[in-house]
This record gives sequence, structure tokens and C-alpha cells, in this order.
Amino acid sequence: MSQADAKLSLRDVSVTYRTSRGPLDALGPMSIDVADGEFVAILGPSGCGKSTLLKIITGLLPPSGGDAVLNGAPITKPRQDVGIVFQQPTLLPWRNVLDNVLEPIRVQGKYSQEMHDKAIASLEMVGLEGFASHYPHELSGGMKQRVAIARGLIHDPQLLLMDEPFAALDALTREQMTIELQEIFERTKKSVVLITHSIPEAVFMADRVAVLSPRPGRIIHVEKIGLQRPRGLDTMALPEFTATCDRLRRLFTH
Amino acid sequence: MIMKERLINLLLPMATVVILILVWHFGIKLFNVPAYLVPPPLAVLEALQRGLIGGTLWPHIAATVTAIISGYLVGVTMALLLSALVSEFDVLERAVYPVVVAFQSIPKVALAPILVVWFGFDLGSKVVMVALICFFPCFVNTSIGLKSYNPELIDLYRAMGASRWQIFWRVKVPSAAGHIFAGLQISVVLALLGTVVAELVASRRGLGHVIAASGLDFDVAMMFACVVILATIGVTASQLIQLIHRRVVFWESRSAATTVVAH
Repeated sequence: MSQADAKLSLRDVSVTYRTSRGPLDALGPMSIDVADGEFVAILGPSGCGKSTLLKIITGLLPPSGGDAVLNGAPITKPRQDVGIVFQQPTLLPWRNVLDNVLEPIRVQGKYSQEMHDKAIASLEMVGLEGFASHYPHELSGGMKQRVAIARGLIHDPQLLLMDEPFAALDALTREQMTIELQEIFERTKKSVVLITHSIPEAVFMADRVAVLSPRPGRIIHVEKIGLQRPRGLDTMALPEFTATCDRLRRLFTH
Repeated sequence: MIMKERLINLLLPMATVVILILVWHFGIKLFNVPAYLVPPPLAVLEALQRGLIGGTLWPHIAATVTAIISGYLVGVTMALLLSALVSEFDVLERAVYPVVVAFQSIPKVALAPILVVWFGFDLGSKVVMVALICFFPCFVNTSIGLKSYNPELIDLYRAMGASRWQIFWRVKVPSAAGHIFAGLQISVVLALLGTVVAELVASRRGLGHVIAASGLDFDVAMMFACVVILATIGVTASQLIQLIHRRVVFWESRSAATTVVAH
């Protein structure tokens, strides 16, 4: 794949923080491309600069070196064509589910009846039909994160960025959400960057898994996941799945 | 079950009040306290009747309530505006915040005679006094509240392309609502205090003035009656703010709303 075809392209991107004890290399240099409709998981231990990477892709932090390009245009400031899902649902507690989903639309001044209907449809997609007028404090952790996913997709972003979206959920909910997100991805065909430290999660969902080294995070390995889509519970039982997870796990335990 | 709980929660404090009044009534008889020092509850009731049904107290109540409301509105508005500016502009925060905190250590009651010289008797000096007293708790609580947002939420909004103005109104202000109401709650009680102080110092109207004047006449029952009316005004105002608080900030449970008491 050439750089021109990529939805997201990071070229030699690095971040160095200035601290009182001198410069601190937080990230890279690292390069990766995400193709249109591709699901890339970025796998790394805590403190490998994952959240720094997230800030670069969302335009919240300019890289100290290298280029970040989204949809053919350099990322220089926050832009409206990225959807984000954080580890915590980060919903507005004073707005109901429907209004939370519509927030990006309202902020961008694009509200219409059409968008309202789309929000209702996307709530159905994440399994929350009938919860439109509920408030976040009335929902479980898993349901809140579903709202966050619906919100992340509502403005039809070029790229959906997820930062350990299920890390705060209990193990059972987490597995269920992984399978559901997988289905959503197959339906919407969005380009996705998933930042995670769960190997099975990365292997199960992604087309490619990029493994980051500890700080400063660099890509030490890229694994292409050949598992057939659509993937489901059966996928996790495949020997190929187990073997891939095992291969990745060995990268961390040398 | 819940209804029963509520009823009990209402009745218990009322029982306490009744017991206190009984202790007052019988205590005076038991220790032979003269009525010109501590009037019996019935004498206070009689004074209340004289003032309220006779009508002599109403203009004073109106004057006091007017001062409370106008001073409160002025002080609270200034506090909200200044804390919004201070929380949004770092330079202002560093320039203004320490000065405001230092100013708070002045006992503002001591300013009352000066305010009378500057703003004259009655409404003018009362409003300024009340505004000064109300300002600080509201300012401090709002300032803290406007910084108590979830930083991830701000990142999310910036990434959506939200403007600073949008972030302020859509995220920071609602996040601060619980704190703002805590400040409003403290300020409303202080508004009462400020009004009465200004009226005691120099005024021709208001319940504070009636207390001072009745003192000169040795009409202790009337002084007590005024205190009862002031207490009623205070409790009503405070309950009203609490009611609005619960209605507006419905998403926070009462225990979760933190109160910073500045006094």
C-alpha cells in the first residue's frame, strides 16, 4: 500500500516532551499507514506513549517530528472527521442518551431531523433501542460505552479512534462488547485505530496489529491477521487465533 | 415506605422545636427570669401578632427582603462573572485571585459604617454590604467548580472541533453547577446577615432597624419577634435555593455535591 492510498498515514512521527530534567522521548519515531476501511490495533504496554499517539491523530498535539496525514491533509489542529471513544464513556451526565449521541452534531452546528433519525438508528445499532431518553446515571458501564460508540460514529468520521474502550468494563461485558464492536465494524466499514493492551482483543478485531515498545514507543512488529470475517465466538476457538495470540505474547516476554 | 420516611424526617425537627419552646416557656417560670430580659414565648407571639396583623412590621419586612434580594443578585452576579473570567484567563487568575482571597480576610462587617458614609442610609449601603458579603463564597465555589470538569471531556470536545465558547457552556458550566449552587446556598444565608448588620448600623427601615429601635424601648418581645421573622426568611430562602439546586442539577446525588464552606 502506498502512502497516497492510506486514510491515515504517520511518517516518522515522534514526540519529545521538555521536562525540568531535560527532553523526554515519549513516542517514536514511528510510521504506520491505515487503509480505507482497515482496522488497525495498536498493542503496547502501559507507558508506551499510546495516549500521546491518540493526541497526535486527533490533532490535539502536534508531533515534534514527522508527518501525520489524515485523508490526504496534514493533521495540524483538531478536525471534525475523527470519532473518538475513550476508556471511560465520558458522557455528559446532564444530557440524555440521545442528546449525548447528538453532541458532535450540535457542536458542529449540523443538527437536523435527519441527524436525529440517524442517532435513533445508531442507538439501535449498538443495542440501545428504547433508551434514548434515559440519563447516563441510569445505565450500566457497558451501556454507557455503547452510547460513546454511537456518539463516536454519528458524524460519519473518516476514522474511528478508540483508546482502550473496554478496559473499564468487567470481563464478561468486555468480551460481549468486543464481539458486538466487531459486528458494527463489519457493517459500517470505517477505518479504525484501536489502542489496547489486550492481545486477544487486538487479534480478534484487527486486520493488522502493530506492537509498540515501551517508552519511547516504537513499532517493533506488525502482525497481519488473516482470520476470516465475519468473526465471532467460533473465531476465538480457532488454532490460528490461539497461535497468533501466542506469537504476539512472546514479543512481550523475551 | 418512602412517604413514611419523609413524614418522619419532617416531624422529628418539628418535635425538637416544640421541645425547645417548652423548655423556654417553663425555664423562664422556673428560674424567675424577668420578662424584660427574656420574654416568654407567648409574649413573642403577641408581639408578632401586633406587628404582622397590626401591620406595622410589613414595611420593614419589605425593606429587608428588598435589600437581601438586590444585594444578593448584585453580589452573586459579580461573583459568577468574575469567576468565569478568572477560570478562563490564566493571567487574570494570577492577578486577581490572591487579591480577592486577601480581601476576604477583612471583616466586612467593619466596613458597614464606611459604607453608610459613602452610600447613605437605607437601600444603597445595604445593597453594597450584602453584595460584598455574598461575593466571596459564590466566587470561590464557582471558581473551583469551573475547574472540576473531566479533562477527557475537554479533549473530546476539542477533538470534535468545539470552540472555547462551546466548551465553556456545554462542558464547564454544567460541570460546575453543583459547586455554583453550593456557593449560592452559602451566600443567601450571608445576605441575610449583611442586611441586618447594615440595618443595625444605620437605617430607618428594615427588621434590623426595628430590633435596634425596640432595644431602646426595652421591647424585648418585639426584638425576638423580628428574629423569628428573620429566621423564617432565612430558612425559606435557603430551602428555595436547595429546591432549585435539586431540580437543576438532577444528575448529581446530594451527597456527591461537594460544598466548600468559606465561613
